[in-house]
Amino acid sequence: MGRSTSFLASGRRTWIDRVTQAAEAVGLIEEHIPYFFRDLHGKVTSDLGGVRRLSVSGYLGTESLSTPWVSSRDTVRGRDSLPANAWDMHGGSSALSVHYRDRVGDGGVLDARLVRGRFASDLYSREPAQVGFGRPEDDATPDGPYDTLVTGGGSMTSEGAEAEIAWRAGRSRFAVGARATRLHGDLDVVADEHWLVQTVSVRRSLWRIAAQAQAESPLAGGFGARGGARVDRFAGLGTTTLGGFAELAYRAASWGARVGAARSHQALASTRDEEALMASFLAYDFVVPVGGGPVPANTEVTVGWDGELGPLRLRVDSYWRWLENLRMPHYGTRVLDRPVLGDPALWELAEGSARGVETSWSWVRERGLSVLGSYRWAVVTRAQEGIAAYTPRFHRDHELEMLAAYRGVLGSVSVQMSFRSGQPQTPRLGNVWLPIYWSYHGRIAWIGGWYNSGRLPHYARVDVSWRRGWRVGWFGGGELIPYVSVANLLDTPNVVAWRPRGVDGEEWSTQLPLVPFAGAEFRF
Amino acid sequence: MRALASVPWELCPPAARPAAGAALALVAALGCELPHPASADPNWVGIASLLEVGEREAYILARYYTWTTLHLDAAEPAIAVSLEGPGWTVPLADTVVADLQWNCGPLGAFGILEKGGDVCLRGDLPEAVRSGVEYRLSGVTEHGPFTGRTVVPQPPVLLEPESDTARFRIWDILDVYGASVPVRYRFGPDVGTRFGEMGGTVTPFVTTILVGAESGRVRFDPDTIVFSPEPVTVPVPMRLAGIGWNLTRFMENAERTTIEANYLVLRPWPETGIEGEGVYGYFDGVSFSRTVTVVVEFDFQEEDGPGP
Repeated sequence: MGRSTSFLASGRRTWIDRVTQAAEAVGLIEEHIPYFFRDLHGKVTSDLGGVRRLSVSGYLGTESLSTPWVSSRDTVRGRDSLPANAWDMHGGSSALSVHYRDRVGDGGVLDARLVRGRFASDLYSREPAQVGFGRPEDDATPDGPYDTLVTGGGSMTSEGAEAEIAWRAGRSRFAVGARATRLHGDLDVVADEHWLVQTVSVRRSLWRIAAQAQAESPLAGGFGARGGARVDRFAGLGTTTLGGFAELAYRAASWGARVGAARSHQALASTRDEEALMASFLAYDFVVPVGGGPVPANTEVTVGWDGELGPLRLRVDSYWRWLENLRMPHYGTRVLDRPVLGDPALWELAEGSARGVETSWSWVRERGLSVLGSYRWAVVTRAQEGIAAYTPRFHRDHELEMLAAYRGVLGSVSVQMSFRSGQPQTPRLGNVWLPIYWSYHGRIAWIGGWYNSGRLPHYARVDVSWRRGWRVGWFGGGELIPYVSVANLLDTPNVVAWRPRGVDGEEWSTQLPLVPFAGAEFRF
Repeated sequence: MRALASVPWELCPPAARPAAGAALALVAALGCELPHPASADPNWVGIASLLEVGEREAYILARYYTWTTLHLDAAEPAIAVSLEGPGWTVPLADTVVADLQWNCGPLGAFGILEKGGDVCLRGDLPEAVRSGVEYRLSGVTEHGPFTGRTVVPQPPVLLEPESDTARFRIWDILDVYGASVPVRYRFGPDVGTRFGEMGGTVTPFVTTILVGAESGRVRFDPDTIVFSPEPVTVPVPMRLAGIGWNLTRFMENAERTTIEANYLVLRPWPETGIEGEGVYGYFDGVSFSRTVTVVVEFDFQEEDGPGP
């Protein structure tokens, strides 16, 4: 687009739905996966001379998990042709950013941005109604009757403007800035009782006005320091917070070390209750402004080291983190069967802490064998009224990831291995079934231990893949890369969760089975 | 690295055991079936005891959950227990032989003792159970000692019917089942669950949980429908009962069927009056209002009906 303007456009679409649909049609699989994801990204940048620059970028993405539509008598408006056990979930995200850069004064640079991001989704699910004493499938016909399990949707929007002026003085760099952001959360869900989510209605907006300053300067002897401060005003909550960060670093020829501390605040909270059992099965989240103060805060101290020796690179970071004013549902005595979604404004304040070590290493070469890996160890706790401390349900103490890839004339073969310690679970200690006062019916109680005091079996998974690129002359020239991969090659039954079920039974859920993939990429 | 060290090799077939340090063998070994955590201890002892105001005896029930397997020879838990009141302690040592209604004191109705596995113990008290008085249990099971504590709630006050005899007429045969008598009452804050009780003499004994703060209806079961050219009257005793918070909390965290009981009661367990290793249940008291005789009149003569 001329000599001073450039553009970038990209688009993607997964074909899991179409491929599995074809596989279902020829009898390779029993049921296809009705999922797709597609997006479009574009960016236009105009060089206005010197440091002056104007760029506009936009993004549109859609995700869908929707079972096939068939004729039915379902009376939900606009949803009149869904089959049994129907899922209909759609999510769309969009983003627009305008960035302008110009020179200010003598050596200063202004960066100004207008940004808007939005995520909207709706979900609907139903199942055959339980009629009489038969199993649901005995009572339902393809045309009904059905129970609507959940219907609703919402949106999250963030829009704002920010400006920052940065300048150099000697070897130091300074910056001051201000930003105003409007955060809006909107969620309306009507749900069947005791299902994944509960009926929830949230519609809340918040303005966040911030001023910030930061400085960065090298010191003598290989040392360097940087720091900053930030004041936030959360309009509507009547809260003003002070945050900031400071870091001292040392850099030698082949290694470096750093120590830092930071404190930050936010006025958003997830509507997800991660401790609910069904959180393992609903990959759906909404973030909305908290209903009132105090705002959630994060304080952390980090110490890190990195070094390299030839193709080998190693990095080690440790951290201590304290989380204040988290929003958590009331602990109660029945955590597991809580609904997944709720209004955080109705939840209690909770605290959390985390400490751990994260390491990563790489030994990468153009050809031959390359190895990448990471290991993470962490201790994470939450505390709220009713229980002094517990480990969140999705935490794993240890996580080891290894990727070994061999690149040769026949292409690239890689093996990825994941080993993770088991997630927390609450042990079932015993069962009682006791009569009560003059009743024909007794009462059954499954007795659990301390929340999340046990551990599920560990997680282990091995993925393998092969890919090779060929130069082709299509579309003016490019590279065609077919690939084949197998996820969970050993078909290990990695346990997600369990729940009490039946007279003395337990219902277990496992993660991904062995799944083969095949595909091709084309690169211009 | 602890995660790798904890891989349960002993659960894999020998051929899949990895050589130390051999990464590929380690990966292969992980392909064997992973174990689930251990199931619940089947010998967890359920304990239930409910003291009735005015009674000079006390009962306690102990059972394993395996009672639900309904075997006549189901195992019975070993238990020794004593009850402590104001200035006295008595052992609950008399083994109750199933009576006509197969009950263990006020616990259950018809049949809780009909199968093996239940241990129902009773003891005579030196005085009648009183409201507002603290009672303690002290016992031992195979899991070790356990204790119990409860304060028996104050008796409810039946405000209406005001007199000790009230008339209640049933006009329509369709009203016979589900018929209920309106009542007004006052329960103290130490009552967790309010019951209305009717019958037990001519008609079956039926209880109704009263959810209203000040008023409600007490259901009764006429057992048989009385047809007669003339109205027929049946005197049915009715009273209110108040149960403390220990049993109430137990009921709040327990379900009637295994299908509904799809959650765990987590620690710290709700206070139900019983504490100890390997035991769970409740220890509570129940107190009563005055008894009113409701004279139920069956009058199915159409011309006498109240009309639409």
